[in-house]
Amino acid sequence: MNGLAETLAHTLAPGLLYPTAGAILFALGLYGLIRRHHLVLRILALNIMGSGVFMVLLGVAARGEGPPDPVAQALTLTGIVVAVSATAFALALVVHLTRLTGHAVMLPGPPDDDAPVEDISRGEHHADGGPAASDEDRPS
Amino acid sequence: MNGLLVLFDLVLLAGIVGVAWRCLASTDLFRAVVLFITFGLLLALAWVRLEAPDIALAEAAIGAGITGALLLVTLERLRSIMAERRSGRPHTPPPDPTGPHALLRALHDPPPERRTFLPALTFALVVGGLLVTALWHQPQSTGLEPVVDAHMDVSGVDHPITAVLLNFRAYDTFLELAIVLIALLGAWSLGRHDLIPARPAPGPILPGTLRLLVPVAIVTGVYVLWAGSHAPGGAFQAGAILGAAGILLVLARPHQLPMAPGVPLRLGLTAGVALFLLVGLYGLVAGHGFLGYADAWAYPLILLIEIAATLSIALALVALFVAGRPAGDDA
Repeated sequence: MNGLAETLAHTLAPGLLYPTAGAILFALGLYGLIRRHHLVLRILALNIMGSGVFMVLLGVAARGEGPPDPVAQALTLTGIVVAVSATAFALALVVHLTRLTGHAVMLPGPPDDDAPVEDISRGEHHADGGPAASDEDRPS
Repeated sequence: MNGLLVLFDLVLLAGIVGVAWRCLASTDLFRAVVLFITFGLLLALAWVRLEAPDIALAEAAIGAGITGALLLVTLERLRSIMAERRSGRPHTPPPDPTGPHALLRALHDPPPERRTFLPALTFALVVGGLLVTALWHQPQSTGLEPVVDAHMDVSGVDHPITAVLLNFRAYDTFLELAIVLIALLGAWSLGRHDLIPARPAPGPILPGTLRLLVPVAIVTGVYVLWAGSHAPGGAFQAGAILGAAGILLVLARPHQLPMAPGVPLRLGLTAGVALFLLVGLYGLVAGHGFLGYADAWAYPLILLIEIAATLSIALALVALFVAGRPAGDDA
């Protein structure tokens, strides 16, 4: 009985509990990344995977008796800023893709299922024309 | 062991995983984004529990706040592009094979098809299982905390994380600022920005609130920057707070962007990287190695770099939110 309580205490310590949850988040993000098609959802899935990595790092840093490892925390801080930059660039790419092809969905199947090539060139021609999003076109 | 704390951990982690699951499973993109912002705020709570207040500050300001704003404005842009494609040019057939539902398709994602279920589940389970096994059998180690603690007296600051970021591992931070700049250059290379489609809220409430909020945000940002040398805080959190204030300003007046065009904007955006590089090269010439400081000069140099980095990060976050080069700027 005593041994069981000890194992339980060891398992539920933050140094082990949080990295495990981080690994679960990483796997969950991976699952979503594979299954969802909309590119914004895929970016969200990538961000959730990244948060899982941060949780593993910070959880491992908090192990032991003393204060947490500042190097792992500094790396996580760097990672958060890099993640937001990469997300912003990816979102800009999604907006540009939608402007060119008319959809932000990664369609299943071979590439020839996607929009034909002439649609892309026409979209590009239009995108050069000037600021595209005019307020009158929006449904109220 | 404190039973209540364990209960808190379990409830918090279950909430985080549950919100992440709902976010990835929702077919409505707006709902997914709102759940993702909630996810970021819950993560900030988890970082506090893991004794990482710096990360919690950054997560609340950047992970939940700025990323959330970026996602929401992206959804609004997608909606506006779809609406324009559907109604603006009746002579061109919509390229989306679904035709009349193109607008709906923009902000909705149909549930995933059945045939990807088993491969995705297997892959995720294998990767997650291997990760958990590796983490559970990791050898005990004290980490780098004693090493950092032993060298705090030469770092020039009193806060270990700032010491690591701007002295011991300054190279990482330098490259990180470069990545922020490169991401912005990538976004700018896609063309000029168009107007942010979201209209300002009617009435005086938003501008009035902003008039009160922006000074508070500036004072908070400068305080967080200053506090970074001895307490949780620093350039990234301060840059995120100032960037959030800038995004609010942009949102309140989407038609007259308060961004300095051309040279001043570019100087501000590159200030962090440029100053960091200059200081690093000076260290190389003076014999302290690349990005090394003389002990007596460490604190003023770190403060100088942090001020420039705060400015650059704040400007870059606002520019990434606006997305695209400023109009009327052909330099």
